[in-house]
Amino acid sequence: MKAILRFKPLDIVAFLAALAVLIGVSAASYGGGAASLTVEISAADGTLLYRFGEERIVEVEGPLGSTRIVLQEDGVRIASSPCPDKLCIHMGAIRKPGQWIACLPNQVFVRILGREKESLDAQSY
Amino acid sequence: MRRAIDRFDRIAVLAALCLFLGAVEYMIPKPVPFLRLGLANLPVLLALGVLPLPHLLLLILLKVLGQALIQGALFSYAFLLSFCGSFASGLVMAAAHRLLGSHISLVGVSILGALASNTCQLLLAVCLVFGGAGWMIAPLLYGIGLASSTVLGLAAETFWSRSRWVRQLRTASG
Repeated sequence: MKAILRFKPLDIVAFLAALAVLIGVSAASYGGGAASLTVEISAADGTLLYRFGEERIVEVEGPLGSTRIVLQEDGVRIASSPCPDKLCIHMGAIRKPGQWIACLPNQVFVRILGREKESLDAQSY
Repeated sequence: MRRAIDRFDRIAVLAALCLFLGAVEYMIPKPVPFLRLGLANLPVLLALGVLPLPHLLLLILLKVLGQALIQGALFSYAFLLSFCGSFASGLVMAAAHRLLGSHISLVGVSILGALASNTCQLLLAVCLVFGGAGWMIAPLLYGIGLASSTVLGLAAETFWSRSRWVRQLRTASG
């Protein structure tokens, strides 16, 4: 049986173009997924929004003084706070959409906004 | 079968083939309604070299209606997606086939058609149905589109150059 199929130059171009679109779309929809999360910091004097994943230290003023919030690539935490019991510091870092840290005495509220699929807290069998 | 197939018979025969292949495809399970292998596009690929553009568009309309009837999706958003996707791919394929002529075979034409159809469906899905989350299915859609359109293009190219039936279709009075 003789091979009848002979690819023509533009067939390969078309294939490569479709492959490029596929790779581009994959990178855009899965690679950029984590970057679409937002960190919202509410304090007495207003609300601040940051992209989750950027490295930054934010100081906000509350009734008791200054609260320092550390934004890192893998999470957000409160590093120092003038409040008496430091519960906000002990809450540690938050990483997923829906998680939050609150410091009631100094009226600071930090949370992560986003549409990433929520995962289970725990499973038991 | 010796009788020459005339102009409108050709549309009818190709549309019937679309309907049949659409039914075959309906038996193959699929995870999302508009994720298709696109078997029913085989007659459209063959028609590119046979029918003039208005008749090609009529064939695509019949294909879309036939598929929707078989799947019971005539009045759903899936129909809208299928309709727009089929016409986008049909126009792109006709343009590629005519303009690029001898530099491209049905394989390349098929791949370009799938690309057009998927892009059109994706844009509609994002705008009308799923919102931004629609982009999450994009890699799957393009991946399956590329694979199935390549195979389908190979099949169409082989069929086109070998089949006696196609030869009769080509030489029929038009």
